[in-house]
Amino acid sequence: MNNARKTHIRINPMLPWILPAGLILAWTAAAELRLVPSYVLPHPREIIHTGYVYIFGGPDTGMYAGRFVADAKASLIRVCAGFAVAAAAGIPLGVMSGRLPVVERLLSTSVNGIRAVPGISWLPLALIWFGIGMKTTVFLVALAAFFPVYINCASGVRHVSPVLLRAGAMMGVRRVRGTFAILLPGAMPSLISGLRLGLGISWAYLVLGELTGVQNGLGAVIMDARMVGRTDVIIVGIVIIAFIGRISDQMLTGCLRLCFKSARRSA
Amino acid sequence: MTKPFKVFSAGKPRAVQQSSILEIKDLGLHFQVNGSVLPVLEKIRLAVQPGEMMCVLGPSGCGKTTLLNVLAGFLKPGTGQVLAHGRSISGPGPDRCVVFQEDALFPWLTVAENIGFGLKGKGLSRRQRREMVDRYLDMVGLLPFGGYLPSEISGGMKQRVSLARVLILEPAILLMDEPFVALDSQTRQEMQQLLLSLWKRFSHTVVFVTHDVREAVTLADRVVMMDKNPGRVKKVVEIELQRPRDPGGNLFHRQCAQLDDLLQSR
Repeated sequence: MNNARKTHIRINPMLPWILPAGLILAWTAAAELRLVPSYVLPHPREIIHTGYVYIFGGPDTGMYAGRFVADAKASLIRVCAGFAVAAAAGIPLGVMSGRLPVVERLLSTSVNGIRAVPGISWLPLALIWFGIGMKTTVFLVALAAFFPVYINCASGVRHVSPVLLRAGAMMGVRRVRGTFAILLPGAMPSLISGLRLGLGISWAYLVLGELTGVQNGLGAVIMDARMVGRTDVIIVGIVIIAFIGRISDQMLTGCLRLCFKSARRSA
Repeated sequence: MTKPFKVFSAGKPRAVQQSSILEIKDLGLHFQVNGSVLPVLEKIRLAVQPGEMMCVLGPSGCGKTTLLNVLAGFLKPGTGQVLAHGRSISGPGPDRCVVFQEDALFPWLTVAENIGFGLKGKGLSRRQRREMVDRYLDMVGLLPFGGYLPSEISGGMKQRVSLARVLILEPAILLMDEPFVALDSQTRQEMQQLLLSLWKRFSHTVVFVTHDVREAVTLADRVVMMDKNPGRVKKVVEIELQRPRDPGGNLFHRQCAQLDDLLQSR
């Protein structure tokens, strides 16, 4: 029997941490030796302290003390809302465009045209339309995340083997069930890539949306800290976004694997 | 000496004057390739009797797979008419099930889930479905492998699954498109014997496409020989060897040689 159960090569579990550790080491060395002034790159110790105060609050109540929960909550809501809109529009349109040449012809020119416009150029327009705050950010996030979701979904659906569709048809599967039982599972690897890319971009555009003077949010903190020259807070913000972004990516993949056999078994 | 009846099919006497289960009337089909017309099938005229095992034999490019796709309802006839159960074929359906040449299992479903796929939406309870799936798993000798994914089993096992997932729908007609072509010769013989035993048990009508003369002689009641450019029926040969057939026997060889000659003749 030709048993093709995937064998994983054992890789040292420390491997992913070598790069960050080396970076932090070099950074510490640079700070200790005073190679760079602390307003350009503060000492890691300082960053850890600032981060602690930002997250948990502290005895010295500065303007950033203990703001983390409120900021993260505001940002998460914006990202989730924007990403949800992107997925809700991107997946159905992607499926239709991958399956129906008419829809593909109808959409492709416009989508690719709009896609070519850098997201940042939408910012002024979005500000005029939606004002400063939640709506603008959600709009930017949704717009930016839509394209990877749509394009990957369409290409995944287009590349589902026609023989699988024929097999479904001869077993009496009609269009609606075929979409959920064959097309989407068949396109699942591409769909996952699209959603992951979309979520990543969501975080990028979150910061863009929050740079415009909203009161709270992780992007707002970064921009605010620049105004008052708190480099340490900027770096704390960056690190926190990196962390949350990484975790949300894993949660997305985890959820998909939990909900869909095809995600567990093919990606 | 006169025979009372001709031994025709799986040891079953062929009823006289049965109505055909599949009827192909003057079927013609062409493809448009870069603006030019490529005739694929021309004036195919055939009738398949219920319970018959018919092999379609021909060189590659003779349109035998295209013919099968028309019977399955994947392609519409260009000219002429194709009837199943006396009615014109309007599209694919579970009364005419296909076993494909290539791997057409759903890779994200286990062997058991693949076999149960066609049962969904038939108003069966989960338990009834499980019992049926187990029965058909057993029938093709894969009972211990129900939980495996298609990527984890061999080519021969995959084709057993392909067979089981259509047999479970109890189709009247089984269309097989060179299903064993990718298997090694021993596995292929095993699969042929499996098919024959299942056919004997269920007596569905089988249209089996192949380019292998020995396979055709092993299986068929009747062999339809096709020619290419454009695809057309060259000759229909009845294989009157007794079943079970002995592939080492003299008669078997003679029959193969006869078909080989026919294939090569212009």
